[in-house]
Amino acid sequence: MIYYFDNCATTKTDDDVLQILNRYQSEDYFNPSSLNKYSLAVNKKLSAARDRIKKALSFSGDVYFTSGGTESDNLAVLGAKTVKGGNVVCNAVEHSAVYNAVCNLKNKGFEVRFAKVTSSGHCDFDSFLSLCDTNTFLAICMHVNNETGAVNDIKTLFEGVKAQNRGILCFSDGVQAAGKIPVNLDFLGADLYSLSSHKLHCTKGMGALLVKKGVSLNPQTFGGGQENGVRNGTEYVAGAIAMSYALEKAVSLIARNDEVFAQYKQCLVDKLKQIPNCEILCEKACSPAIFTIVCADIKGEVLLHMLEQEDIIVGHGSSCSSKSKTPRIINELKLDKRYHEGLIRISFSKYNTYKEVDFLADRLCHNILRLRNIMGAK
Amino acid sequence: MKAIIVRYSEIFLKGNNKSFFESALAENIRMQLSNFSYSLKKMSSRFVVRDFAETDSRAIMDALKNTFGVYSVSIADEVNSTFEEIEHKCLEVSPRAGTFKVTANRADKTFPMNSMELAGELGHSLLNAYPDLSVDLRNPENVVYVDVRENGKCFVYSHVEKAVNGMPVGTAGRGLALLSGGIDSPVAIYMMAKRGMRIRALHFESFPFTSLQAKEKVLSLAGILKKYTMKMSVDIVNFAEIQTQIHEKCDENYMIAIMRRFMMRIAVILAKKNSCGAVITGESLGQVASQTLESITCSSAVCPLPVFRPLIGFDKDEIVILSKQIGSYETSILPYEDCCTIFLPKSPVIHPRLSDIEKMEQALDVDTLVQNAISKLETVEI
Repeated sequence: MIYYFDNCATTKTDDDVLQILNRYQSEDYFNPSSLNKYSLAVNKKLSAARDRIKKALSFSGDVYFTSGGTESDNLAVLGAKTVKGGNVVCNAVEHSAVYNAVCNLKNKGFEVRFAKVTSSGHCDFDSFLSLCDTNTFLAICMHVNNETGAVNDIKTLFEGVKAQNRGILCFSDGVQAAGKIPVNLDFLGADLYSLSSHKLHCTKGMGALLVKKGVSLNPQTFGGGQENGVRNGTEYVAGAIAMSYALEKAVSLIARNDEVFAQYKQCLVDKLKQIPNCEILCEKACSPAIFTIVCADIKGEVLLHMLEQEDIIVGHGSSCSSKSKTPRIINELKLDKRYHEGLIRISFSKYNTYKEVDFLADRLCHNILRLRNIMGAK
Repeated sequence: MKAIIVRYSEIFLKGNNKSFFESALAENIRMQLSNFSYSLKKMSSRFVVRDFAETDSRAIMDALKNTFGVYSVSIADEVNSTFEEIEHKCLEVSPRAGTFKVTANRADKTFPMNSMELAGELGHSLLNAYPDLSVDLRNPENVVYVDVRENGKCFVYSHVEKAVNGMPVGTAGRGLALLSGGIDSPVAIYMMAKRGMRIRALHFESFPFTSLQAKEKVLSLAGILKKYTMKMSVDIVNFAEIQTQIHEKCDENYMIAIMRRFMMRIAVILAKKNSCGAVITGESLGQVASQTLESITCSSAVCPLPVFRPLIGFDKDEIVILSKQIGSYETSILPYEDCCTIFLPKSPVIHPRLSDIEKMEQALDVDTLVQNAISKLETVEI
């Protein structure tokens, strides 16, 4: 049996979602752009999938299907209309799909301004807004931080941004938010919002970029004009339809999960109390599905492998290898040096049980102490 | 017909046991070319590969160039040894402009012209055919080679590609090499295989202190080395318990020095078990604390077998250059920790004394630790 607590990395695909995938790969496999009647039927299913996603996220704009979160993020950042001599304001701890896309803009000559974050991984709004000006054309802030679970109040932030300059395009990476916390996209006011399907108990290789009405993007691929010519290429029909159902289901489970995951977190908190110098990174305004700790004087990667020996799978933000640079987020969180390598991320799914979490909590405490004993300075 | 000429160098100098080296080289060539269809024939002081698909010629040339014992290779056209046929082929392969010379060799002494006459006549024909050519005997831009063999056939070719040289693998005994995953040890393995040694590798993994990716990286390196070593087995020994015990019971600064001795002890047992007569390491004198004279003395003290350290006099940048040539560098620098880096003390002892180490090791049940580690040995055939 595998105790899987790395649901931010990916999730197990649901059986009913697999059936949908199978159906649209083996039975209704027609190209939605072809002119025959079967293709037309598939095209209608694809449109229905878009509507299902829009409804699940209370969104009135367009849904462009992509190959996943990374492509959606890239399309948002690189496809945004630029302004000569303009700048981009970006939360400092974005996912690397956003961060590296923004760095690409920087290489093209645009100024990129990174806003500070708090010690819990929340975007510092004062810092963010102070960086926006009349030359800013793109503002970027993730909805839920993938490493700490911090939920950013993007409604307030984007309102502040628009108040300074109505022309600024506001983009939020929603990969760890959609289906995990309530999202009313029209209310939140983001112009662009990215999704990934494999975080929702659905297939890898599928995602979407949600684009507010009236916002136009420069395509990053060229071809047959699919997705309004913004994301060309034959749609992954099975993935798109499956994702729409998976998202709908995930949204319907948010309230249930909120309650259950809160108990899971409490279980971990109670047991971790006995471990000195072990901090929870984000306690307030945090995704219910993410629980990240930093422990002094241990290597998170080694702890991860020790748990792995017992078939407990957790996440560790980034590689802690001594040969690579300190992970970006660790630097931004301004943690004490003793905690720099000791990050462990636990992320839940509906498949976890309280019994599993209780077991995880015990083994986590045991292995932290054991590891400190083995590797600690004498 | 296309043929590939395979030349060897040092074997050429061997006396009565020359045929032993030639057979070993032939066997290695067959192993290198096992994925291709071809025929192999020995001629005087060279091998000739024929009957291969022309689309495979580049891949076959590359495989031969990576075969120790091969000095150089050329892809040639094989024609009948008549002046007309040779001339016709020379006109075909010759450059159309620039400086050139013709180099002729005549093993068949019944051929009506001697080498000088043949080269001269062919040079004349080329000059007549291509007015933009000019002769430069000392430093030509192009050379047309003509090799008249004893069997009524002649090779005509225009390029000689250098190969890895060395001695055929399998002609110089067997060695057990410590393979860490860093830059140096693959180069050390390459160097010893180059002198004809059959290599078996030993890797110390340290899961959970290191990741499974670190082990996969070592297996990738072994795969790269197999291009040269022909066969490759990797023994993998988990070192975590030994490290934990040393860390717990010995002076932290002696951690690496004592670890190296455990590695040697395990290497000796596995070497003997696998009929290896030597242990090979990638040490370079003074590169790190564990590679000083005193550290090497301490680790060698538990190794009754000869320890070959082919990189001992190399600078790091020289090793890096070789690593890049071999093709192992990009894999070696992947950022996964190996078992030596994870327990790195802040100030490792640079000049350890053997007597001190022996005293510290009394706190450890050395034999049991070694036996336990070996009992969980995993062997991967690459």
